[in-house]
Amino acid sequence: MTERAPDWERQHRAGLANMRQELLAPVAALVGYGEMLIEKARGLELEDIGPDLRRILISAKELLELVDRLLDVDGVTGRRSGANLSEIQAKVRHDLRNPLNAIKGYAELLLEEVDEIGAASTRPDLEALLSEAESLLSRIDVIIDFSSSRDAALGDRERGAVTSMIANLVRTVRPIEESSTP
Amino acid sequence: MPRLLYVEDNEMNRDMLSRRLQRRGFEVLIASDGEQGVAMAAAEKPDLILMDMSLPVLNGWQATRRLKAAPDTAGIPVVGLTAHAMATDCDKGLEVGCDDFNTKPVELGRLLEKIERLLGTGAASA
Repeated sequence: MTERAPDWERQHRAGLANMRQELLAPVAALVGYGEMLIEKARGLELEDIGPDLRRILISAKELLELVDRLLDVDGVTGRRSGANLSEIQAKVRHDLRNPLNAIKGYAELLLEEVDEIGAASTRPDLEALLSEAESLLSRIDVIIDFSSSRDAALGDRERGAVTSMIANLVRTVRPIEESSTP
Repeated sequence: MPRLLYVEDNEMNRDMLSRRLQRRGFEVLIASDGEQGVAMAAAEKPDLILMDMSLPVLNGWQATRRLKAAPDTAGIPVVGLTAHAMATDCDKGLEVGCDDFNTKPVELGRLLEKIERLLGTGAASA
């Protein structure tokens, strides 16, 4: 007979899995936009913006690796007996902010420069990338404390993402709590 | 031209923010760890210091404490930059002598407002 994991461990793993799922999509989108912009710049021979686009892609891949490692349900974090979900949340929130700072900053810098260097055709994709970065930042903030009043400052798009995330979290955790009730 | 000292160990963030500030008319000096930041502040006497808090050798809190304890650098405004976004981290920064605090990712407009206020100028714009 298979031994059943304790309730706290199942809730912990469910929490990690939910965070991972919520963050992977926008991070993957950032990697995608980064790759697409590099290809586009190469095709249009926009060499001036190549180095900054590569920095965006490097930071997006760093984000992907961090989310994968920090929120690995079957890895060290998931199995750590003393793991405290709020500690992991705080670490995720901190560690993801440095690469996100670089992505947002370079995207904003490029948006300032594209007209001057004849690369205006990349503007829509840069704006989309920046929008994904802002959406990810909102999700990271909400993961730490979705009951705070921070969401009052969110736009419609972010609020929609947040509502969906909370609903997912409740759906994931509630059956675990119910099944553990005697 | 106002001179800023930016103390940051992350190469990409250093390159990105220094370029954005230079585009707005600031001269930007760079240090890559807290000890180098303290030494450059004493030698160069910048108008303002942007201090990342997670730094090697001497972290941002320790470096700021040293700057504020030295008569030569005590009067230079320090804006702390941190990826820690909790209110307690801001409080900790203000306790060691930061004049203001900004969380990462940096919102340039908000940072420029703080810089302008501390420099007593209205030259920079987002």
